[in-house]
Amino acid sequence: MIRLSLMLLLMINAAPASARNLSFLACPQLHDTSPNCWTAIYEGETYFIGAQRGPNDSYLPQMKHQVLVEGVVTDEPRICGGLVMKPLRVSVMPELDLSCDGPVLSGEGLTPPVLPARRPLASRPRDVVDGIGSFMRSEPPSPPYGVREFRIEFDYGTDILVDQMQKRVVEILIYATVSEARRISITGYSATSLLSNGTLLAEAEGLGEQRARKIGAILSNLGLTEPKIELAWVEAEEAPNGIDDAQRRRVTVVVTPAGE
Amino acid sequence: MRKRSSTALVSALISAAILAGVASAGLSDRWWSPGEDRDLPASISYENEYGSLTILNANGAVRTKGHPFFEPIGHNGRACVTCHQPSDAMSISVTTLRDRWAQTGGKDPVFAAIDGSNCPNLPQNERASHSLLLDKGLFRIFLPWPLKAPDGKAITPEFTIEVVKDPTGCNLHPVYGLQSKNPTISVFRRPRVVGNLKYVTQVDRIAMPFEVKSGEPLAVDPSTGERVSMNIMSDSREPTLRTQAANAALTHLQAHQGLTDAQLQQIIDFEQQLYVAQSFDRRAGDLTKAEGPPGLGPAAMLRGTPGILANGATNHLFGSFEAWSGSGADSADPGAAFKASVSRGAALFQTRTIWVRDVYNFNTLGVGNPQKRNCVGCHNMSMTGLDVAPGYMDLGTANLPHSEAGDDLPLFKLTCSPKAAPHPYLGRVIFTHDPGRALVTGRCREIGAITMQQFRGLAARAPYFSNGSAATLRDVIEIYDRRFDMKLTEQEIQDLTNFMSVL
Repeated sequence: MIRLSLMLLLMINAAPASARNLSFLACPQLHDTSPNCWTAIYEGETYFIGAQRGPNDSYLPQMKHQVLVEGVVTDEPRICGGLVMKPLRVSVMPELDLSCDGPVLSGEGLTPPVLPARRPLASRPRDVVDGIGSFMRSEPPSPPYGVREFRIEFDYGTDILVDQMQKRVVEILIYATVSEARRISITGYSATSLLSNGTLLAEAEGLGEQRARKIGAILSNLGLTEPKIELAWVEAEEAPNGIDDAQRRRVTVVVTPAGE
Repeated sequence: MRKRSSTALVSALISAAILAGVASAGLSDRWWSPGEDRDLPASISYENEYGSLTILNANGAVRTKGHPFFEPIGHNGRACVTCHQPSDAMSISVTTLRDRWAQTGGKDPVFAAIDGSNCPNLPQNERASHSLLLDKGLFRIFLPWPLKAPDGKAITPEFTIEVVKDPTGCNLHPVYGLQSKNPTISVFRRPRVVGNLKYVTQVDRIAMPFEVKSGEPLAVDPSTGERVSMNIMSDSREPTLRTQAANAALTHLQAHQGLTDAQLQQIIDFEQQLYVAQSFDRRAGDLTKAEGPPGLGPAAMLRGTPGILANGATNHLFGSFEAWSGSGADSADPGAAFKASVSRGAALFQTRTIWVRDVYNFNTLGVGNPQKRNCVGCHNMSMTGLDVAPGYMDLGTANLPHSEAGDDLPLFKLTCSPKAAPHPYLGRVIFTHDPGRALVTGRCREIGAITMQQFRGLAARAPYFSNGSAATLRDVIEIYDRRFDMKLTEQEIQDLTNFMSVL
């Protein structure tokens, strides 16, 4: 039913993670509320996993795909009938799964999230809408400059930079430029997630290298050609714990300024 | 101050022309042949099915003699203007092509074998050999396969290509096809509008320096190193007007040698000052009246600021149509009902929500699949309906099962490597009439992604979509209606059609 050719799916006799930490695969459900909200069911319980217009820490689910839900269950009031998880990471699994192509469900009786008020576009500067462009125009970091590590996180099974992580790369670019970096050390990691049912979900072999090379190529493309760029990678070597596995799908970038 | 005066002068010129019954070119003047010695005036209007379109030269009249945009540079007798005719919003319509076929017996350079026929090996004096051009306005775009990077290096694609159907014979041809000595894939696409280019070339300032959708840096201008919009071509393969013109001269015009820097600059200078829009409607009359909607006509395009993100509620995509919203009650105005319809269409475009589903490079951007959104969600740049970000998406115009392109186009089966990220909604085996952006990047997930076009001058340049699959503006609406199960009423279809016809 489920094709997961990019990952290694193993069953082991691992103990489930802490009761408050939850990690599971599921088909997402979409509810026609205002704003629309997404939920997923795991072991008979419903969890809220995102809403259109956010705020969301992750990209939203996609029909035709399973989602990997990783987070910590809270006692906050339910949203759209689902328990609230904070923090919450939702990864859209790369492979198609047509069994996850359900209809948009009624939102009747559900309480959607309350969205923060949005400033109307017309009142904003005409060319800046809280994006990376405005970030680039912000004040650069001031000296003194020391060795600084940056962290770029990824959704499961991919090397695509979501928009928050694009901003992180710009942050690295700016810091390396103003600090006149002499060396940039990039280490890419792939990781394994320990699901709450004891399953190990391993990212594809080589994804750590792919992530490292991609960040290196992007930084070079964006103009960091002077500092020496060192690449390294670690493939799924860290033991998963079902708690912070999502944070291990990452690239770390260590910027060493001139004089350090 | 000086610029404002200039703009006001241009507006006055256009208004005067329209009041004079369109400073129009007659039938004999409509076609611009390469090598003619004429003036393209500061403002010139051409009739079309819905009214008339005006071309505005912001820098004044242009003498065509010796101008590289208008001169036959290559050996097939074509110039840039051959496929970018002023009467057709600087694109070219099927109506014009058919007229030209009839007038010249198919001898006009626009029908050149290289790409004005279904395949160069076909008998060029037969209409059937040019059927894609004459039926759908499609030129053959031939690209090397496997693809090459701009520096000439081979790129390893994530997929293989099989030819499933080859109605033109070109993809299986021993000289021109995929198995030839110089392996080439032929797809068929519409020429895009050469006008309003300050919008088309506007770099996304929101996500700069990233192409926000792919999470990778925007392409760069090889001359300057500056980031570019990636919105010029339907597959975004040429980063700048300069590289586009240089490449087009070698391919479409079959130039013996490249254009000089001076020629390229002259072409770019000309293109960048061209503004194009419908200016007169048979039912609504002059579209540029001061008391009418402010976003219509080419002078509005000249005045407008590129890159503004419309949100569908407060920042109107093509300016407000409020001036026409109450027109239905004005019985003294014979165009009142039409104006009211246009106003409703504009509102529908900006506020009618639909479930946007399975669109690569929209639903994949973290917004969820499906997402309830209006048309402006994708067509979000003010004044044009372009995407502020690079606008290549797989709407389904090229890929099965949604494509309605028909049996006259080639059909390819693309099989992606198991190691590649799959197309998010079609997987790893994809049937397509045109791999689109994937022919440039080699990426499986980008198969069928086509860069959206601007909405200006639509009345003058049918058919629509990159593969000409919509013969009329109404067809465009109906394709969207089917694709997204919009359940539009007959009145809504008519209102949206009327709205698009005045742009």
